[in-house]
Amino acid sequence: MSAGAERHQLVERLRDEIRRIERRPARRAGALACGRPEIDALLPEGGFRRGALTELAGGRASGKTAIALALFAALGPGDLAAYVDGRGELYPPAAAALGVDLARLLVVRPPPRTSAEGPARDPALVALWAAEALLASGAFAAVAVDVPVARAVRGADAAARRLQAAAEKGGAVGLWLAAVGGTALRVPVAVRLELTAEDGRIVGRQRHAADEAAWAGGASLLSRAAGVRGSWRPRVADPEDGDAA
Amino acid sequence: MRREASGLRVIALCLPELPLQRARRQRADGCDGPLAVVSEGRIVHCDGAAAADGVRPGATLSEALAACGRLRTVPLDPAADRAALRAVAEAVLLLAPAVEPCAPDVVLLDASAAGLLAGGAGRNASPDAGERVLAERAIAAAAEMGYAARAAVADGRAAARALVRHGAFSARTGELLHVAPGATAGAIAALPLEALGLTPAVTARLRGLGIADAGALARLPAGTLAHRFGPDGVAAARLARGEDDTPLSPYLPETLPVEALELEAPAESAEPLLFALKRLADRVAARLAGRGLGATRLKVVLKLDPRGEERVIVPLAQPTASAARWLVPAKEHVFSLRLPGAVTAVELAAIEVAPIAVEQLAIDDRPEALAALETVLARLGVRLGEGAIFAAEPVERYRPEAAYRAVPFRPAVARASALRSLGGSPGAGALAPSAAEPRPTRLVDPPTPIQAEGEGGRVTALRVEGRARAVLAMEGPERLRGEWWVPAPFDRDYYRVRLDGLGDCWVYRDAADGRLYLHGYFD
Repeated sequence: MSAGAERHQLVERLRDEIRRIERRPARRAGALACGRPEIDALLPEGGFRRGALTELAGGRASGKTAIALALFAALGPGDLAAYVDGRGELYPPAAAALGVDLARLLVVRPPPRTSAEGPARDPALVALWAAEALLASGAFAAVAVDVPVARAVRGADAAARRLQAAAEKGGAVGLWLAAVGGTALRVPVAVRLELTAEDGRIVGRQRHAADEAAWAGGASLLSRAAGVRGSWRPRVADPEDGDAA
Repeated sequence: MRREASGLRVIALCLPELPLQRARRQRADGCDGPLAVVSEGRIVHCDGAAAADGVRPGATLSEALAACGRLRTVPLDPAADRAALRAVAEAVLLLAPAVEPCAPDVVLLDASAAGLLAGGAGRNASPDAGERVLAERAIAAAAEMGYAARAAVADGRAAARALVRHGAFSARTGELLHVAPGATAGAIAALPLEALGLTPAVTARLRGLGIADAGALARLPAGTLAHRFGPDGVAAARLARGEDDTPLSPYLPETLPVEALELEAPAESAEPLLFALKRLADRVAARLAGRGLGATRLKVVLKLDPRGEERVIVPLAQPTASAARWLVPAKEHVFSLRLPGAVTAVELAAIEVAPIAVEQLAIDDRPEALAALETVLARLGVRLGEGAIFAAEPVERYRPEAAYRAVPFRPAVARASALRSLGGSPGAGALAPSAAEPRPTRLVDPPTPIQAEGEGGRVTALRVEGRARAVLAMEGPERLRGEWWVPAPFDRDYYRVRLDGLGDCWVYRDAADGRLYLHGYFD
């Protein structure tokens, strides 16, 4: 065999090897309970569904971070978790105190501005991109996304829509931590829990979209993006608003 | 045949024409044309193509070029050859209890315990099967490093070395010459005296007596040799009889492996770089694997045309000696570069290593999940910078904002060390004593100044984010103070304050200015 042919064969073998390495891990199914009965009871399958995005909405001290950390603490010993910390506020010692294995928790804090390549991008968009990559990777069992992004940011809406598809692709539990009301971005999610702190207890309630029909377009978009048609339908993050855009 | 229980069995792995092989291996294209190694103006090694054109070792450079105009020559570099031999020794370190590089072109492996491997080779395996398996593995390891090799197994280091360099390898023996225990003297009898590694003076005197090979030397009476040649003669006769129990001097590598490759032509596209990276990764990984180590950080150096270089650090989530596992993150990092010129050579080094733990496949025991993790971490690292992705490690500090630090995210390493230390959760145990108190899940950094509203000396509301919120409950204070040795020590009284419509907040009064600050949320 000539050197050229041998080399061509080697390159082909390398390509195959890289394709094999980059193959996505087997998708996981089912639901993950966070270990807080009052929250798990609110969820359709008794826990946070894998391969779907769940919104935890609430005020600044409503308990949404504690619920996300409780879910991380309840993961299996081989599972990894990630927290996209767009606000830079996560306090890891508190996570450790809640039972989270910090060595298995990846914290992603996008820098204020990334201008190394091309024009500087909005940090929120970079954080959303990171969240999408983590959710779709298949390496993480749960990914919490805490990114303050305004509706007005160009491209944010599309980036947010891709999160659900990414969670479905990677089989991860996706948690979208959202503030209530204001100009925050609305993200299509499978389930939305609204949390409040009452007398030191976290109280949650599930909010269904009143106008689910208005979101049918959004649902089909998501199904196409994910390549499969899921059994659930995404609901509007802010049902009162009813704006599909 | 009688098996000697206590004899030293040695595998000698020979890299024939090492300077030539090394020169060929350094080029990514393999260098198809005639090639020769030159020292002091004379050819010392030449390949088959050059020999076919009439080039011979010992010829002057001008004679060689006259015989073969397209001859490519490289200078002899004994230091580089010794380094190459050590690199091969590294790659076979795990195969034997002792490995010794033996210049110029042999690596010796202690195979005394190789018989134990025979049990794994099948029910009907012969007692020598273990030695054969080991020798074949050593040849394969050398091949992975890019060298053609052959091996001989015999009693004692001198006999094994003599056989591998001067023995009769044939189509029947293949690349492995195996001599059964106790049969070494017969096997080396026909070898010339030079094969025994005697000093030139002893060899010349023996030849003067008409002794031409090892067999003739072995037949001489021991007393006569001692009388005429002294200790050197006795030692020579013992070697000739295959009675050599000199132990190997175990090789312990001191530096981390580095491998380099010159590209066929300056590369401007991804494919030649990937090709070179794969070859280098195989070689570095083989050397690390031989030492039972895995890389956690790689350095790729790209030499640019006409000058300059670009360095890339590739962090890895798991310590691994799997070259395939290195490729994806290395590709992400290297291909994200914008290079000012074409690449002429590539160098790969493992700059940070860790023992490969048994628990390496810890992430749900799914190898594909490990690969997925490497890939996504590499993508995030390239796009966001390495500082933006981390795991948090508790630090024993009382200042809340300094109670943790960012460390590279390596879940498998952390798991292995946690299992070793029997310390339980690596997270909770190392916290400062103050962590026994509740801590907010979100820390506001820097702390935000807030105003208190009250009556009769009692705080009734706090003005947070421009809005007054009634205080529903308050716990505290928890006094945290310290770092008196720094210019800005801290002295704070922390309160957990439940605010109407907001929830529980972490507030402190700073003794330095007497003001209140919001430092976190119990979200």
